[in-house]
Amino acid sequence: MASTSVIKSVPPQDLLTELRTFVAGATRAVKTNPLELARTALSLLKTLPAARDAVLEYFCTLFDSAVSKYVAQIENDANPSGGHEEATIAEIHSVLCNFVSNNPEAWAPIISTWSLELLGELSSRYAGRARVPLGAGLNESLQLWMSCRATRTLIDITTQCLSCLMHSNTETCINALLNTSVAHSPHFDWVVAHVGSCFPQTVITRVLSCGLKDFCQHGSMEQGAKSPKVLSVVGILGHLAASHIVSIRLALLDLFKWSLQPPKPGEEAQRRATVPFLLQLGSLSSILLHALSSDVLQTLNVDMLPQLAELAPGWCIYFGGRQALEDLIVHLARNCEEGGTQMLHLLLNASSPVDASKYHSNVALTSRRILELLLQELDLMLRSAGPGAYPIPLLDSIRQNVASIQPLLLSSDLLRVQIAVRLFGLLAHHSPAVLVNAVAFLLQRATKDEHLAAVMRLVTDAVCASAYSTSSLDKERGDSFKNNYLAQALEQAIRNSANNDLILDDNIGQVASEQLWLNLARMLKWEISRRPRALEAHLISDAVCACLREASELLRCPPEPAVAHAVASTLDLVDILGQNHRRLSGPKLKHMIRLTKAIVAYFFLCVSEKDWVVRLKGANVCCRLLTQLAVHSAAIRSLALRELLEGALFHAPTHLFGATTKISKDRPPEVRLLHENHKQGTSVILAHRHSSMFHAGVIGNGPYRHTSVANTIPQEDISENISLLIDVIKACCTNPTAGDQNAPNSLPTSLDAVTNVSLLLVELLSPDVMYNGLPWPEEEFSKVTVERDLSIRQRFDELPITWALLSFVASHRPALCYCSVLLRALTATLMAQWAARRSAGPSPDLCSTTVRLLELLALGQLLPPPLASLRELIPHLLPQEVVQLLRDCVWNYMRDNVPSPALFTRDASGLMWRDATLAIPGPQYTDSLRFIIQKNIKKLGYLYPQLFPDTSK
Amino acid sequence: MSISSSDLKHALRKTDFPFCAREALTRIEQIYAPNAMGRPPSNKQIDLAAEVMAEFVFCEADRRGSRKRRLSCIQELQLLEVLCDYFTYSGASNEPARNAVFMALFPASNAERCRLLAKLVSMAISTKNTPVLNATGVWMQHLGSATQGSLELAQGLVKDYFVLVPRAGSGLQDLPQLAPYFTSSLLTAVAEIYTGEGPTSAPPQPLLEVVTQWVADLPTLCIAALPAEPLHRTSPTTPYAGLFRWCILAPLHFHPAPAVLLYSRLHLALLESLLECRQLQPGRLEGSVMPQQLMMTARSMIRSNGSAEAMQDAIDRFAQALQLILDSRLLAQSGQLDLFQLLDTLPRNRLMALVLRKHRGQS
Repeated sequence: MASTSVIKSVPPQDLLTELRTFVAGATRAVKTNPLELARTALSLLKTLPAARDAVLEYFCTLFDSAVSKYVAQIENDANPSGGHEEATIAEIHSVLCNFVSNNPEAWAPIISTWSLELLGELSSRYAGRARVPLGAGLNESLQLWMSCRATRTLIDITTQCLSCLMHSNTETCINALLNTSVAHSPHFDWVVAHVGSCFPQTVITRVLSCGLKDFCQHGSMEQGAKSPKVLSVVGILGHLAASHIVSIRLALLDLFKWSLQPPKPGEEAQRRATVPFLLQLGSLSSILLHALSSDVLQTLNVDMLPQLAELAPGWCIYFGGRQALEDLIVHLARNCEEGGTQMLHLLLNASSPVDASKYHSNVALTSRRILELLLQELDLMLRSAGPGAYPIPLLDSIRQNVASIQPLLLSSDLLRVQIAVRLFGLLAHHSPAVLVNAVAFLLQRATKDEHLAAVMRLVTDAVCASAYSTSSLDKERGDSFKNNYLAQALEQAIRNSANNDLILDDNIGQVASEQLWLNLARMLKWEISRRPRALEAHLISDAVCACLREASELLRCPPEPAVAHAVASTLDLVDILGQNHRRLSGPKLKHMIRLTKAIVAYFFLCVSEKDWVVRLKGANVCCRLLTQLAVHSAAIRSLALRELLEGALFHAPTHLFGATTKISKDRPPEVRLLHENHKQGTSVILAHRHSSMFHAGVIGNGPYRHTSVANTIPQEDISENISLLIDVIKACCTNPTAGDQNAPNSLPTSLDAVTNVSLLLVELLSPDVMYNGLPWPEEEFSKVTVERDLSIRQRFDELPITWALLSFVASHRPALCYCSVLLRALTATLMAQWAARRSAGPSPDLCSTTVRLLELLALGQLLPPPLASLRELIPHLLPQEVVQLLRDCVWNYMRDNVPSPALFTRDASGLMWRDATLAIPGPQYTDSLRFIIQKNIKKLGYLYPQLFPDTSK
Repeated sequence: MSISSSDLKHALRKTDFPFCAREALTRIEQIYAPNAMGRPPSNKQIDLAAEVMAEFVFCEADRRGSRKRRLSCIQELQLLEVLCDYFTYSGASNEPARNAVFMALFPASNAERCRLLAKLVSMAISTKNTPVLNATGVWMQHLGSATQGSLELAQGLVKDYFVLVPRAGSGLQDLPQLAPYFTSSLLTAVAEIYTGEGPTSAPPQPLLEVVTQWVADLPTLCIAALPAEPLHRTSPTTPYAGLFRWCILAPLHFHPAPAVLLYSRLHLALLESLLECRQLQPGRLEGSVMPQQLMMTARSMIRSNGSAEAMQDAIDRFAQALQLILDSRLLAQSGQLDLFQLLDTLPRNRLMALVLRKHRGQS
């Protein structure tokens, strides 16, 4: 034993005294002044390190009594009064803070642990007291405790410790925070919230890393059990989310990125556990899930997936197997409020990458599996919940960003199309409008059969699943519209393409609306072929019929001729009137009227088409459509006829039918009377003098000088157009009973309709409404009607189409009778013209007009046999002879034999004929003819035996 | 004298906590006090003493031997006070019995009691309680100054006096005078705690100051606790190797810092201490420094990336220390050659070369 020098030193008495005083006071053995005792304790803290724990423990009791007093004051409504405790606490505060700031590394962990534990105990002990119920919110408890001096001081000390350690040793502090939080949850939450809001960035990061560490250690052992620390982490982050969501999102993102970096030794386990940890967090708190989905999800891309795939097998153990992990992922995905579309794109891109070099079989299989599971889950939820249940967040998210899903429908990859179709089917449960939009989108843009098949699937699925509530839809469209998404989609598509006629592809130059109608036509062909059984319900026809109004509009004034052609050919495929299937009510009359007008407009559009194939095709379509409509309703028929005639005569591009327009040129400049009067004189105007005479102006411009503009359309085109028009009119006049078994004698053309045409012609061509009757007056009377006659004649001269129309009428006897007034006018004017040309020679124009007129009369059987051949004579006769013939053989005959339908009789086949044997004209009508032939027997001799057969035999 | 165990407990149970502890300590001392025949206490007696300690001193167990709630910190403080009082006033006459009681109170295997011991020693230092410190010195020597228990104790003390309250360390200047035995053991332990490699494992500044002053003031302090018969050849018994290590590595890790001067002073003090101790007690020191310790230092030097100048400085110091250590035959024989080989790999240094050449020739 080597105790070289033993100096017996007396222990410092004052220190021992202090110690004894403190122990005595702290154990309540002796009654002491608390402030004094606290001072003693503080001094011991400085001088006697061994007493540190005891001193701190004593302080605990001090704080506890302060808090209990405070609580009691609140409960008794007493005014909080600061006593010696306030001073004590203040002193303790200053001393402890001093320690911490002087030597943070050593003191901060001790003090912060102490203060946190004390806070936890106090919060738990006084929970539910001081008029703050147990279930009170965070804010109430925060308010309660922050207004208490003792706890406020403690919190202050804690935050100071943390701020000292922020850069060196935060781990210890946060660990203490978490542990305390676990022990005293939920009463301790206010502390965490307060501390967290002081150092959001650090607390969040640290809390996350502590949670991760814990998860990494326990997660694998207690399979899937939720460790209290993770719950606490979730709780704390939940509190902080209210004001620091940005920091939380950033921290989560950083954590995720960190996990993907190449691991340093010793960190593999943690990095591997990061993703499961994040998933676990997401499953425990919707706020965190939201944060994850809004940030982490955005950073994921296909390139990262193979890397994750390598880690994935290690994740399963945290959740108890692959199945559970997949379930969790699907569950989380379902609840994502954001990023739904990104997720979808990610999964799709992973399942079948556009770039084949990025294909990774494992990733692709898993992605597809998850996608499938997700869709199944959504489907199940929707079906089991029924309509009107709370919406699924993922679907909401996708719905908000639906524009980015829609292009998937057009993908060339079948998987994408299928997934998108299913997704839209799911979306339609809550908002059919999305589905309608998607179908509209697809209809406008689809170029392949697969895409149209997708349309069909979308629509048929939706019809099956629909429990569609009545919304504010157009009532007039009826029930079939409500249930037919395709109809709605079609309407939408039409509206869309009207709003912005987006060019799909510059090379092709196809307009979207044309594509739309082409697509419809293609689908209608499927429907007609009845191959897909789903189409037997005539969905597409119904849809088109529901949109007749829009279709008519497009047809009437299309943005491009091609659109009109497409619309027309689509309508051509539809059974507009719904005669062939179950639909009870056909389209409404007003739609039909619109459609009729549109078809007529379309006809004129076709006529102006340069390519004759297109022209012919369009005209054929018009014929078919008009036939259908006209047969359906007489009103439609007359409307169509009127439209056609008015159009052809006046409105449409009449020059296509050979019209020559007259323009009056050289209009004299406008003359202002005031100026004229100013020219008269500038002197003062005096009454009853010369100066009061005013210039009255010039009336008229003298005779009109018209010059007709030559029609530049080639003659063959004109005649073709005319024949097309006649065809269309004929189509309008189709007999409703034609081809009917019950009426074997019915003609293909309805005579009533043709009569209608002739009446219309009279109405349109005759400027007068009076004296348009059938009888021909005395020739003298034509002097009264000369103006009207001239006007009619002018129309005939300008519009060659009138001749064609008249000959159409004439060929359907006895309709020409009703055009009597027109014939009369023509005859009268011709007679006058021929008479005027007595001196001059015959004019070829006049001649041909006369021949035409006579041909008409003959065709219409208004002139019986010998007279019917008059036209053959005309080119060989002198004007005066022509005048005589017209007067005697035509006018007089007509005057005496009123051209009336009564003259005609119906034969067995239903045709009307005028019996020639009953209507042999008397000699007073034929003699002139006979004389004239005899006079020109040299040229016309061959006619004589035909016209005047030798009846004597 | 021979009270039955039940009677003893019964009597003790009549009093409350702080007083029963005090009473119990007296009874325990009676058990351990060498009785008339000079026989050591029987096993049965030792068991009884252990039971009494557990129930009445540390209140670890209740009367049926099951565990009880831990003492609160204030009660602990009371207990410490009682212990201090007991050791102070039990008289100097029966020091062996006191030491025996001390050893029985704080077995190294009981972590909880070791924690209390650290507090007790800390308190004893504050209150300059020499008996307790002496007893602790014996305890540490018995355990070995560089064993786990001693290191933990030293760690706690350093934290109390040099980390938490840096100024409290200044009150320790007279500790070598009060309890040289304990101080020496403490030095050895402290020298082992801090490896001196880099700033993180460097001793705190106040500790360094105090250590320097201790060694400078009392050169024999370093060997105060050197046992006559070396018990633990595997663990260091003198602080020389550890403290030299601090000084040698200092130039490599602290560039121009105030601490550098302090390290130089410590180095000087150590060298002087060696010289003086050699004169005072030649032969007693023989083999108390193990080559392994020095080899650790050399390896640290090789690992470090200090500048060449600093390295020369460090090697100079190493050579000085080595010269004295070898000269005083402090270095154990086994493993010397390994050390020399390792030192050859250091950057070339004239002094070191000289020292090596000299002692290679001898050995």
